[in-house]
Amino acid sequence: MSQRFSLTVIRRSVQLFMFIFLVYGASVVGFYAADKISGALPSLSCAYDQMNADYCALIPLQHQFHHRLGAAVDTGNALQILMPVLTTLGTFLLLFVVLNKAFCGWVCPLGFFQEVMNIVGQKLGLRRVNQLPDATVDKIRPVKWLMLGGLVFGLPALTSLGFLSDEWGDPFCQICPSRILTTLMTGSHEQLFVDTSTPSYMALSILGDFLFGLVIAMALTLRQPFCRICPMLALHAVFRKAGFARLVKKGTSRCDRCGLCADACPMDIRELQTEHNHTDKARGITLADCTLCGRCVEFCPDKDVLQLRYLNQPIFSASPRYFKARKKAQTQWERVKLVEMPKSKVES
Amino acid sequence: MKYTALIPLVLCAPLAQADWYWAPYTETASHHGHGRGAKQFVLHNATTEQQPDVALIHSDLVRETLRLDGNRLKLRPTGKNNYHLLLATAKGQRYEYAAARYLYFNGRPVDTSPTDLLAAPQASLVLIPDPLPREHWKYESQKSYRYRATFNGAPLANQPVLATTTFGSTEILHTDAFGVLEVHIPDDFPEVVPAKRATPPGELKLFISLERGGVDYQFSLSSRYHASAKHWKSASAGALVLGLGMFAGFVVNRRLPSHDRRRSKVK
Ligand code: SF4
Ligand code: SF4
Repeated sequence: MSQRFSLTVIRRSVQLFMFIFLVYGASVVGFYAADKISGALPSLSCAYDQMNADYCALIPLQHQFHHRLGAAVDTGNALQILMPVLTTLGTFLLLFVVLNKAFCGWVCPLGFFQEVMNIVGQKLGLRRVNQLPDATVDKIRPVKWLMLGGLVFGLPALTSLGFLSDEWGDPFCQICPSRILTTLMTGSHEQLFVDTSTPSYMALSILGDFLFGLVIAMALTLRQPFCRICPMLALHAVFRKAGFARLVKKGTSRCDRCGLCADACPMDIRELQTEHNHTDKARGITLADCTLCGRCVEFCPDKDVLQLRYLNQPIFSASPRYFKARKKAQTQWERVKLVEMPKSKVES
Repeated sequence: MKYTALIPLVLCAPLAQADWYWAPYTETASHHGHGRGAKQFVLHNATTEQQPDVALIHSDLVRETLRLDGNRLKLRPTGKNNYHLLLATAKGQRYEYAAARYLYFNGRPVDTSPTDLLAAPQASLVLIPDPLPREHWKYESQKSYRYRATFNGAPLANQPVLATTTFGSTEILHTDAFGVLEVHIPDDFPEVVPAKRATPPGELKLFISLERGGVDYQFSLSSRYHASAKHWKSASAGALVLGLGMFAGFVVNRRLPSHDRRRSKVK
């Protein structure tokens, strides 16, 4: 394997293509929402971007809970909310089964942006935090469920039922970094603002801008900082068993002492190392935080221990030869720096 | 269109005959940009002799013939989602008049796109939004919008177009060499309440007319426009908060606990 054809290089090329397509693809698919591929994409591609090719499922879900739940309760007709929500989830699932969580690792514009920022941070010689301590990871993991339950379903539902003012109808969109990122990428700063019209809008807009700044800076040092709390990651986690693409593991006792896969994982999934180590059969290990990026397979030195499978057929398997070449390529790549920063005292 | 640029009436005279246009009928009707209830409109300046044919072209391109009550019209929801086109036309030996207005209805999704609606036959002389504001977007002051002027399907280059608003801004604009017209909607609201949907909207009217072969062609396109969100959204404050977020991110980065799983195992 040469560095040129590593899985990561192929993946980044796909990500770049998808970024361009999703952010600027209206000229290909059409301008109006009716022209879009699905309107329920399992990635954070934003409808506020006037040039986008498809937009994420979280937009219709928030709108449906905001606009339909109250009416359904008033009329006692549950179908008023169920039909649109099931249609959106059905559309989402039709796409989702094809790629599963690879919509994160291979398609999402915001996921790609964070990876690019991390490369920039590395090339600028900034501090690297390749792994967070387990306790920190455990604290962060539930946040994505709160984001999904609270911002995508809960607050829009409370707004619809009249407990909150109208500003809280689509709170995730209002703080989503992809909204600001993708619109800025099209040359429009229209989504970067502080809204002074009401205290709620002001709070949400400040939170959104601040979060985007935080994500930009943190991605320079830490891998995928926003992905760890992304509600789409949680929605994927719910349906991940239905996807055709999967990560599987047939571990051995050597895994107990190795852990290279967990080191490689940008999402700090330590269970990669500890689960399915004494098994005679490959078992699914597409865990809730996995983005199916395949880095763990690339950095596993043991033959066929980790595999990416599609419809249960191996499409990429761990191998000692690949591992050696990949590790060498990675070392060379990391040596290339634009700026050499002095090591900070906090660096471990 | 520059702010409140009042063009002397005499300049407007050759264009001012092209004066059919649709407008919302009452103030309550003016809320109907995206509503589900009945929408009421009046076709201004149409005379009974001209006997306009009125049609609502639905978002799925079904053409519904309507009858004016006087010059008024009450539209019931069609149950279909997306843009519809309200069109009044009249054709005689010496004239062809048309007035168009795009309306948004909520309802069940349809298989067609606004692109198909914009391509639907309207009249010989037309002004077509390029594009319509996308679903859930709207016309806003302080922003520019594009239109295409065509005559029998061919672009109309360097054609004068009269643009007026309910608040008194008026200007004569010209299409470019490709028949494209750019309209900058003025921020001419007498008073802006700095919040979403709080300021009553204005009406933008575009009139185009042409004489060919002794026939007088006239077409108007009217639409609602809203006060610019720039009145209550500050981009510079947004950039400042983004900067603060980045600063906080750098501070967090210095303090982030780093962990080396392999090293801590060896120990
Ligand atoms: S988890 Fe990351 S890659 Fe996945 S949708 Fe969210 S931002 Fe995108
Ligand atoms: S578990 Fe493997 S495939 Fe999943 S995110 Fe981590 S490195 Fe990528």
